[in-house]
Parts: sequence; structure tokens; C-alpha cells
Amino acid sequence: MSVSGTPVLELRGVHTYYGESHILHGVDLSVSSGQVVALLGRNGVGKTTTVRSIVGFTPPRSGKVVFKGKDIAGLPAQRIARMGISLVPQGRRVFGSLTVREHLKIFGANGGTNGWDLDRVVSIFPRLGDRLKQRAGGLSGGEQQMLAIGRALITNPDLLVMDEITEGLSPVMVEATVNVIRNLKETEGQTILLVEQNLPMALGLADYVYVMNKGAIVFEGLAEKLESAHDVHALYLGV
Amino acid sequence: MLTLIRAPGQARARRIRVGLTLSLLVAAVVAPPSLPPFLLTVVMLSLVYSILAMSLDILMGYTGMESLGQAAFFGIGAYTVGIVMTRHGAASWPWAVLLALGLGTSSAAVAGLLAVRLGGLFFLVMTLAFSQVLWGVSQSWDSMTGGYLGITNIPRPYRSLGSDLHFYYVALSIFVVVVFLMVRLVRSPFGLSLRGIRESESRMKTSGFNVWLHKYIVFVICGFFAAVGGVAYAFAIQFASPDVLSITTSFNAMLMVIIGGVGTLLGPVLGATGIVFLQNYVSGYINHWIILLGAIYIAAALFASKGVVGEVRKWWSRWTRRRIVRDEEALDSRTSWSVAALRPAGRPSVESTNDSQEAAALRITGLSKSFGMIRAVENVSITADVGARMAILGPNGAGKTTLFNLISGLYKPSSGDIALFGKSMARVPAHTRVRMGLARTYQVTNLYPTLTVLDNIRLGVLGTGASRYALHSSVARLGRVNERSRELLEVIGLWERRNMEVRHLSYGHQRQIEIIMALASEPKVLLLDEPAAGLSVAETRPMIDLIRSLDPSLTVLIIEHDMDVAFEVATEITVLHNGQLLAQGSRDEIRANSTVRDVYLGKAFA
Amino acid sequence: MQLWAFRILDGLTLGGLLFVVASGFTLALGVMKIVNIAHGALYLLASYIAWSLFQHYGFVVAIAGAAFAAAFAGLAIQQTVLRRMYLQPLPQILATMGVALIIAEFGVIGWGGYPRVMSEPSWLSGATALPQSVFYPTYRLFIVGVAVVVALFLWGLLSKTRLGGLVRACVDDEEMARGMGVNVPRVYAGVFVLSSFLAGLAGGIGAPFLGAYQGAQFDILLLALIVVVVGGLGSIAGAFVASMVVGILDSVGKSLFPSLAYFTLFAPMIIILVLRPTGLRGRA
Repeated sequence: MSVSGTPVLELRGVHTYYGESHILHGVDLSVSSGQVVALLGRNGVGKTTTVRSIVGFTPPRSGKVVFKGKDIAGLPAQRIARMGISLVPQGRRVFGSLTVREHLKIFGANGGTNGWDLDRVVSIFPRLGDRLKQRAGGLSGGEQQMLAIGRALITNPDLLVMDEITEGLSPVMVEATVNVIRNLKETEGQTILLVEQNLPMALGLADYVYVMNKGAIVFEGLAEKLESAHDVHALYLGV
Repeated sequence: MLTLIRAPGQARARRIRVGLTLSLLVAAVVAPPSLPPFLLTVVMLSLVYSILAMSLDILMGYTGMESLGQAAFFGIGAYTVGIVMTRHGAASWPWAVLLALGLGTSSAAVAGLLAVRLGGLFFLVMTLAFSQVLWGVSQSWDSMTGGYLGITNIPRPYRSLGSDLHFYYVALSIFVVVVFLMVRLVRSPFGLSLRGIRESESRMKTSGFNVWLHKYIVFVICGFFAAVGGVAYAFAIQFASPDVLSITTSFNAMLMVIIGGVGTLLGPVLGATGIVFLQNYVSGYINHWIILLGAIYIAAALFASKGVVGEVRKWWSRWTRRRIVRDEEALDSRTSWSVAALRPAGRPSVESTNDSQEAAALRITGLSKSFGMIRAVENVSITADVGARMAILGPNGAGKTTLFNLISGLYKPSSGDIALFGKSMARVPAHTRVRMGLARTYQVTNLYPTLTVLDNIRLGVLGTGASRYALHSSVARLGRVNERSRELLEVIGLWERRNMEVRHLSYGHQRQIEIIMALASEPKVLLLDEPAAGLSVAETRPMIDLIRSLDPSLTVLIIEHDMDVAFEVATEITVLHNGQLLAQGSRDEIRANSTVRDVYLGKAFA
Repeated sequence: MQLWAFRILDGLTLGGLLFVVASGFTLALGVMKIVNIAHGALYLLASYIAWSLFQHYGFVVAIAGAAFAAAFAGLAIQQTVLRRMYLQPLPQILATMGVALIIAEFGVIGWGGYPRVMSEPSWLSGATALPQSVFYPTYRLFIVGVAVVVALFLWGLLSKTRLGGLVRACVDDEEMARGMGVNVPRVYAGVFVLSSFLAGLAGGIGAPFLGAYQGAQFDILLLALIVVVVGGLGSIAGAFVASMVVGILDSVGKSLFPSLAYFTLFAPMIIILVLRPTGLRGRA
């Protein structure tokens, strides 16, 4: 495996259930410091469940989730967040009754000290600066997405988990989001796990790629390798 | 392999149950003359409170409606008897009883109108508030209720009943009749519908049941039974005070149910007897017995999830070494479907009905639904012809399941129309749509988990049947319903497992029950929400076969994430994106559509 | 005219006291979905404690002691019992009923079965002149003042502070709040303590007004329930409006139809619920 740096996050044999329904069948996955890793796959193959297993929303029934050398599987979500994993969730999930300013003020620094604060978030998302006093419930979809990213950044995470963040965004917004992530990667060295259906975008950003199908990893490799792996496309990603 | 389901232990359990009941009844008849008077009174009170507790348990244990105000109807019964009897004398008893039962039942009818439509916490708060207000009235309406002191010396109907021993037999008879009626109720099709409502209201609605009406009826019935208890109480102890209406009485009834065992009729009787005995004996020895009662409440909340009856059952099944059989089987790809059974006999073929010739099976025009700021479905129009196989694709959050919830009537559309065979049904409630020929399944398995496989299917069949309101007959005796249920279960080979609780079935089998249950209502249009969700690759195959074997005249809309499934079962494809219609067409047209690729399938594959 | 002014003022007074109790009740209900049956019992306990403290330490200590004692009792209830039954309404209701019984019985043990009415402090006794030459008891005006202060405090706390933001985040999307590192159990414990504190504060200031008596635990609970049903579950603003409405209806109703006092409360509750099933300010 050509992984640079030390692994920040490692999943080993993770099995996760929703009630009786067995969703993840032994997922192995690793994200190294400074890397952008993409997790790809069609709808409904278990990508979001993987995210939920990592952040502690749906703890795995078996297997290990090792973060910075500690097994965090089964810890409460707030502990995991405070250890330095921050989530930009699918569907944005901003707090409707909180103002933009509150989103960027009240969730204090958790993990590292990358120096993110309200002003820096506003500097990369100037639109949010105009709406600091507005409640998040009244923002447009694109603005909510910026806010969700900003909210995740101000905790200064060691690992940023982004789940389908381009879903439902206009092409212009997708491009803007891609630029922000590229910036995070290149100038901040932010470690990112990018869960995506938007293949071109993911391949443009990721160093390393995992492909999921039916609750298991079916392909992993460098991003360039996937671009040429046509069988993987046909089987697990395309029509 | 599957082990025997009806173990011999079950017959033995039944024999023991019947034996116990009979010997208890004999003891209840024979023993009292030799009991000390105080003990006799306590036994009599136990019978009275058992009636109250059972009436509450039919609400909370069977139907899942946790009422905090059951004392209201009990108290109305007791007070009415007290007021009429003290004013008009012993001879007025028939009027007193009739008026008491009438007032109790009709106030339940009023409270039900206010409370039943409310869910969860609102229902709790509303029933509590209702009974608390009556309690307040009983305290402040001195001229009628005697205020704090209550009504004393309530006469009994006849002089000969003045003796507690004689009245005891009256109370026992009332108790036996009530138990008999309740057992009938619980075993009736209506009783089964109550347990279905407890397990899943949404599934009941989309099986054709008017859930509100069922809940309302049972709320009123239980109000009646509580009033019967109140009448018996007033005659038994010849006294009625605000206590009978108080929050303490409502809560004690709930405590009795929980300690004894929720969802059984025996449990409340045991619980009532236990609490009444404690109250009357322990309070004599302990100065502040209320503290002990408080501790019992807390302990019940912490530990008594299944109550005495539940614990005994667990102990019994361990003793007879009857293990709960779990079905771990994956779907078998070699299963062949007896397709013929999926086509209900006696249904006119679609070609012969008039409306189908001019109207599409399902026509959706300009349908929109917003949740606050979010437009989940926006101006969607879809037409599905009779016998169509249409897949609905789209990324997460595209509005697919919202669309199904709109079609099936769980959500009200913000605008637009939905027509089934030319008849608009946008304003028709969900359960009526089922009777118009619509059925659906759920993405997240939505069955009645603690009911048996057979009862699950029976509910599917009953939803559109006339006997769903029947209170008198037993479900086991409904010929047509049981035959049809058997046919349907045999299609998926689960007849042998009919007595297993559905939650013990393997996930794959539960997914099949989802579909079979929808077919039980004999629909003309079927909505399948991700039938293969959560199935393994190997299990997906038999699911596809099951869908492909459906009656060709049935119109099927299918939401699918798994594109293999979608392309295999559907001839037409509709793609949703951000709540809007992105593309519509045949399989090949969709494969070739570049917008669809960009949005859904990924640009890289151009 | 003067008589009506008195009745309205009486209603506002009762409404003020009701708001202090009901705001705590609705807070626990709105944030944690807990129907705290022991809320009225905490009020009663605080009334008893205020009565005792007042004998030796004066009014301010009595009120503060009562409120903090209730807050402490609330913390104990939350940590020992409620924490184990998070989001399970029925066990919560049973357990808090048990707590209510135990607290009230301790009241009997500690203070006897008969009512204990605290005196008003000298600086709040007597009457105050209002416009139109209406003289009204000063202490009752003080209660209305406390209600207004509590309302402003809660509004400021919930909408202006970091803590309030965290509470609202938990209400909006509890899971996501945990995902942002919010210690939700601790926020909930804090809210429950605040809720109990408000019950205690009401018990303290209500001690000279309604007194501490056996039965108050459920009288107060009933009034809080009606306020919450009318105002909407979990709405502080709704609770304020509803408290005043209920207070006035109760005082006017009692004077017009003394024997049907509770019906005058129930009728408007029914009307409001028929028109708006989730209450005046309720969220569906």
C-alpha cells in the first residue's frame, strides 16, 4: 500500500448494523496524515454508514476504529468529536434555530490548533459574513453547505469527514466547494475523508481511493489507478 | 434447519392455564364465607381495581396508547352512582348504573375527540390534564360532590346486598363478565388491529385501516370498562371522594399494569391485587407507606419492563427448555415462486374494468411538497399505465421516498394532484387509498415485529375486509382471511413459520413479508420502496424473481438504489434530482441521457 | 370597576407565579421530552424549606435556599434515575411520580400534614398605590415582577448566550450536536437543574401567597400542565402568554362560578386545542 505519512484513522474489520439489518460487512480503510482519501460507491452501498461508524452515531457491532492510535469504536460521539474528528454531514444538518454567528462561535476547538475561527471562516466564505445574524434555517442550500463546512472547521479537527457535500448543489457551488477543499489540502495539509458519489470531483481531489459495494470495500488504490480501472467503473460505479 | 415451532410444551402450558383459572375461580366462589371481613373487602377492592387496570392495559398494552387519565372515567362512574343513589335511594340503582356508564362512556367520547388525534407526549399530557380537571371539579363543586369529604354512605341496590359477603358475589360476577368481554375483544379482528396499531401505525394506515377510528373506538370502550369499575367501586366501598379521580388513581392503575405485565389481561389483575394488598396491609405496619409506594414506582420504572407475567413466561420457557427459534436463513436462490397464488382469485381482470381503458393506472400532476424552507418534491408529473414497471431513481435526498409518502397518503401534498384510475385521491386519507387499489412497501422494514408471521399477514388481508371492526368473532375463525393468509405465506414458503414472531425471521424473509403484506390487500398499483435494501448480493436474486413474478396487470413503481435491480425489473425509468423530475424514458434512453449521467451516474463515464 | 381591576390583578399575580413554575416544566419538556410529574413536588418542597428558613434567616435567604434546594434535588433525580431512562417517556413519568410521592411524604414527616404559610417580608408587605386610586398588595406585585425578570432571564439565556445556543442545538438536532462535541448529557443535566431551580423559586415566592400544603404538588402540576398545553409544549413565550391567560381565567372564573372553577380553565383549553392542536406557540 502506498500510503504516505502515519495513519490518522484506521478501520479494521468493521461490521455495523441498523437493527437487524447488516450494513457493513467488515470494512477496512486507512487515512494517513495530510492525505485526502475518497470513499466512492453507488447510492446505498454503506458509505454513510461507514461515516456514522467512524463518528460514533452508529457504533460498529464488531471491529476496530483506530484514531490517532486509540480504538474509538463505541465511544460516545461527543468524545470522538473532541478527540479531533469533525463531520460535514450528508444533508448539511445545520442547526435551524441557531444564527450563523452562533454556529461559528459556540462549538469550541476540539483537536488540533490549525487556527480556524470565525474570521478565517468568513474570509473563505464571504457570503456567510453577510449573514452572521441570520438563522441557519433561513439560508439557501449553498449557504447552508458553506456553514456546515465552516462549522466543522472551527473545531480545528485532525480529521475532516465530508459526506456527500456536493449533493444537491448547483455546478457553480460544486466548483467553489472543490476549490475550498483543494485549498485546505494544499495550504493547510488538512487530512480529509471525502465520501462522494460525484466521481470526477473526488478523483480530482483524492490521493487515495476506496470503492464500496454492498457494505464492503471492493477496490482500493491511488486515484490515477482507478481512472484506468474500467472494470471497477462498470461493476461498482456506473451503469 | 428449523426446529419444531409448536412444541408439546405449549399444549401443556394451555392445560396448566385452564386448570389454574378454574381452580382460582372455584376458590373465589368457595373461600369468601370463611374470610375475615377486612380481607374480604381487600379482595373485593382487588377485583374492582383489576377492572380499572385491565381497561388501561387494553389501551396502553394492546394499543400502545399510554393514558395518564384512566381514573377520569372510573371516577365519573363512582361519583354518578354516589350522587344518584344518595339522593334517590336504593331503588334508583338501575338509573344510577345506566347514568354512570353513560356518562363515563360519553366523557371518554369527548376526551377521545381531544386526545386521540394527538401523538406521544401530547396524548399523555392531554389525558392527564383531562382527568386532573375533573379532579379539580370534584373538589370544588361542593353542592354536588361533597367537596374534599366526598360522598359517604352510598346505599347498595338491595337490603340483602348490605352484607359485604353478598355484595362480593356481585362484584365477582361483574369481574367475570368484564374479563369474558375483554378476552373476546382482544381475540377479535378488532383486537388484532389494536396490536397492529401498537406495532406500526404507518403500516396499518397503508394496509387500509382507519387508525384514528380504531384508536378512538378502543378509547371509548376502555372508558366504558373503567366506568364499570367505578360503579363497582362505589357500591363496594359505599364511598366516593376526589381520590378516585386523582392522578394517584390513574398512576396506580398504570403501576398495576406495569408490575403485572403490559399487554396481557392477567398481568393487570396480578398487579392490582398486589398493590391493593400492599396498600391495605403494609400501610398498617409502616407509618409512611407512601414512601415505599414511591420506591415501588421508581423500581418499576427501572426494572419491571415485562412485569410478573413476562418474568414467569421467561422462567417457564427456560424450565421447559423451549428456546426461541430464530430463523437465520438467507434467502434461497433456488426458491421458485408459486406465481399463481399472487393473482387473487375472483378479481376482475384489469382489461374488463371500464375506467382502466381511458385512464392511466396512476397519474401524478404537478405534485409538490415543502417542509418549511425545503422543497422535497417540486412540480413532479408522472404517468404510469396499467401493468407498467417503472423504476424511480435518484441520489439520496432526491425526494423519492417523499414521493411515495405523498402517493400513499402519509403526507399531504402542498400542491398538485394524484389520480388512481382517473379518480383524484390527493385529499383522500391513506387508508381509503388502499381500498381504491393502492399498496406500498417500506425501505426500512415496517412490519409488526412482535406479532406472529400469520398475524402480520392477517392484518394485511383484514385491512380491506369488512370484518376489521368485528368485536365478537375470533380471528382464528375468519375463514376467508385465514385461507388467503395461508395462500400468501405459501408463496414465499413461510407457512411453516407462521407462529414465529416476525422479528425472529431472517432479514431476507422480512423483506419478502413486506411485499406479500402489500399484496394481501389485492392492489392494482403497488409501490415498492427499495425492496432489495440491505440484502446481500446473493439474496437480491430471489427478490428480483419475486418482483418479476408479480401479476403483469399490476402496476408497479419501484424505488431502487441498486441499479442492477432497477434495470432488471423495470421497463420505464424516472429520475428525480433535488425533488424535481430530471428525466423519464425507457431503459436505453436513460442510459444514454447525458444529464442523468452528470448528476447521478458521474461524468467520468461519458 | 375597581372589583374587576382587582380580579385582573389577582389573575396576573397567579399568572406570574404560574409562569415561574410552568417555564421550568416546559423547559424540561421542550428540551429533554420529560414530563416531570415531580415538578409540583419540587415546588412544594421549596415552599416548606422557604417557610423554615424564613423563621431564622429572613426572606432573601429563604427564597434562595428554597430555589437551590430544589435545584439540588433536581440534580439528584436526574443523576440517579432519569439519566437511565433517556427518551423513554413512560418510565420517566412513573419514576417522577414515585419521586413526587416520596418528596410529598417527606413534607409530611418534616413539616406536618397541615398548611404552612410563610409571612411576607416587612419591606414587601402592605399595599402599593396604583393609578386610578387602586391599592394592591405589594407582595403580589412583587410576584409579577419576579415573573417578568425570569422571563427576561430565560429569553436572554436561551437566545443570547453560548449555553443557550448549545441547548437549542440539542433541540434542533441532538445527534449532530454530539457530533460537534457537545456533551449532550451534561447539557441535559444542566437544563433539568435549571427547570428544578425554577420550580423551587416559584415555591419560595409562592410560600407567602399560596402556602405549602399537602396536595399542592398536584394542584401546581395541573396548572403547569394546562399552561403548557395552552401555550404549546416547550415554548417559553407561549408559557408566558398562557400563564397570564390561565391566571386571569382562574381568578375571574372563581369569582363568577365558584363551584366550577376548573371548568373555566378547561373550556378555553379545549377551544385552543381544537383550533391549534399544538397550542398557541407550539411546534408540530
